[in-house]
Amino acid sequence: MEYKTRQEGSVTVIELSGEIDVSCAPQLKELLQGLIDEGKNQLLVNLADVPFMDSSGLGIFINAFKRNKQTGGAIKFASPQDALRKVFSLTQTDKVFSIFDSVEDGLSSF
Amino acid sequence: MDVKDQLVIDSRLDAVAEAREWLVSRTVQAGVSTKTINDLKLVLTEALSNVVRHAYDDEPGHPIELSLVVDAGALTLTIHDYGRPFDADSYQAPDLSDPQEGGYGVFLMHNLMDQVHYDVSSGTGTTLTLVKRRKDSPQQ
Repeated sequence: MEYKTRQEGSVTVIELSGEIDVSCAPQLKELLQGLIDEGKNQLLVNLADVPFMDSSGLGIFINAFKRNKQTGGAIKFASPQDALRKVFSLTQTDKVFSIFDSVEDGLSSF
Repeated sequence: MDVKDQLVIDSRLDAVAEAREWLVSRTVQAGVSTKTINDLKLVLTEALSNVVRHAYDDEPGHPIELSLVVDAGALTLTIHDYGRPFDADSYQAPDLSDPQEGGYGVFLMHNLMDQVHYDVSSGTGTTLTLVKRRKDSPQQ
């Protein structure tokens, strides 16, 4: 897994790429916790270049979602591929997460 | 095309990606659909994560034996470890109305596969058998 971040006004866009599994989950957790600890709690995660994610990756997104909810922040998602949409759907986390078809749509929702 | 193959990996989380690559390569060779391969990748990853973390307590240096059989009717993936036996009776499905950080692995396996069977009768660890019928099979 690799990542880049950029600021779009108050929103931090996280561009993830590569597979997210249990071996890189600690890296993802550190990234999200670090941003939230810095006060960057308006997060939009671009998943367009993530072909695979397991439940450990999902768990880290749930953790960030709960942390941000407590502080008035948000973590939203853009452009998941079919394999990731299926993980969100099966776990019904698509009912609590805000998931958009594009980064532009996601940005305009903040 | 039928495929039958085996792989042994070490009990490390960073070896799970190696197993995924092996699975993808063999299932592509067998002409399995992309959708089914994606399901199998997820199920394999969840199963191996559980073995490394729970059966072997994150201790490297132990074998995990994988076997894959693909024929016209089904894909059968078998995972054997020699660690702490899995207690299938203790499994509780997650409450999907209240998302939690963990507990989805076995749930996903049951949702994505047609059969999920744990066998601890050997007395030497656990054999997990996962079966997916081939809806992409020309015979169905």
